[in-house]
Amino acid sequence: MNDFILPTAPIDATGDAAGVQAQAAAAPGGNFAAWFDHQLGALDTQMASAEKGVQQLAAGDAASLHDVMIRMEEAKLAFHLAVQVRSRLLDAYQEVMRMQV
Amino acid sequence: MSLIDPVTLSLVKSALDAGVMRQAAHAANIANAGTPGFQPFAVTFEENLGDVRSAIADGTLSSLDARDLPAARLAVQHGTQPVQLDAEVAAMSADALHFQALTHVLSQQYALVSLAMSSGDR
Amino acid sequence: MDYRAVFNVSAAGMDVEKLRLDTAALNLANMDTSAAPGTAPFKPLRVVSQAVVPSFQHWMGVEDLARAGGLPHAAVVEADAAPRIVHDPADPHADANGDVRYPGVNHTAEMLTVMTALRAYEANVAALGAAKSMASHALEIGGQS
Repeated sequence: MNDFILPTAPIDATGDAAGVQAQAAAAPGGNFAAWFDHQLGALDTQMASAEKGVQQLAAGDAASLHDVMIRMEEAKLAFHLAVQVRSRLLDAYQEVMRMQV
Repeated sequence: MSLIDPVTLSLVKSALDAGVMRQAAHAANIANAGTPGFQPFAVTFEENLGDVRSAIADGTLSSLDARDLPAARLAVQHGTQPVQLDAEVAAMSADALHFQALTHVLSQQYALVSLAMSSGDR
Repeated sequence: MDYRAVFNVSAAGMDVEKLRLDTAALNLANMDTSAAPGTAPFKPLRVVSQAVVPSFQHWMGVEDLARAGGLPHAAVVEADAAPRIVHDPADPHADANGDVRYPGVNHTAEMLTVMTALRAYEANVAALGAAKSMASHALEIGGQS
């Protein structure tokens, strides 16, 4: 029987999400600054991946629509997460600053 | 506060890829229903999952490596069976619905993650 | 071509079945036409289809599956059908023996072809619809967050 194995998209955000997952699990007790730095790097990669997906779609090279949509959604959520963390950090900072000494 | 579990996402992506390939196989089979000597296509995916299934049952899916998940495999049937048109159309409807189910639950998962991230917003 | 390649396959399938239908209709329309002796009579036609399968060095993606599935390609050729002979000396097209030659069109077979081609055409339309529906749903991923 002839078997043709069609590869899925070789480079996508999933690989990085695995890294994010590992880092997130390590965060408690770890270096928060380093973790957040890593998150921003992962965000960067995911947004670049999403943008590439859009480019491929426009150029007619997108192998599947769901792949492009998933990359965009991952980037959107990663961005949302980064914004949320930033907001919480800011809130916490402001609350500390408001404390009476 | 993480995104969707990467192994789950990888599995869903593979299932979606299989769905797209199945649709292409059905389209090719139907288009060639009247072509003499044509060998129909079939796509295998769920059949190749093997250990993944038991990992899901055990709840240990997350511990697998996302890159080890089997990809959808396209097989050419070397048989004497020509294309059975009605069976092909019926299978195509079922596969299209399954694809819709996958995209829907994926969207729901993302919505849950987004909700989890937003809760606490003032 | 990318994710849209699968539409081409269904479109090609529709073309082939439409051709089958048109050819059968043409044969049926000319069933009872005769020609004067010495002139060329109508020759029944049939559609021969084959899958054009390109060779690949390596697989790229779904569009290759669509192309490797073989875009069906059809050609219209003359059928090898003996003419139907009716003895009617009074007919203006009768030859020296009083025989009139009609195209060897098999009415039942042509009607069967019409039904089969129509059904297959509709199946290709269904395939096109399914592909479109799937693409629409893929576009809705993440639409709820």
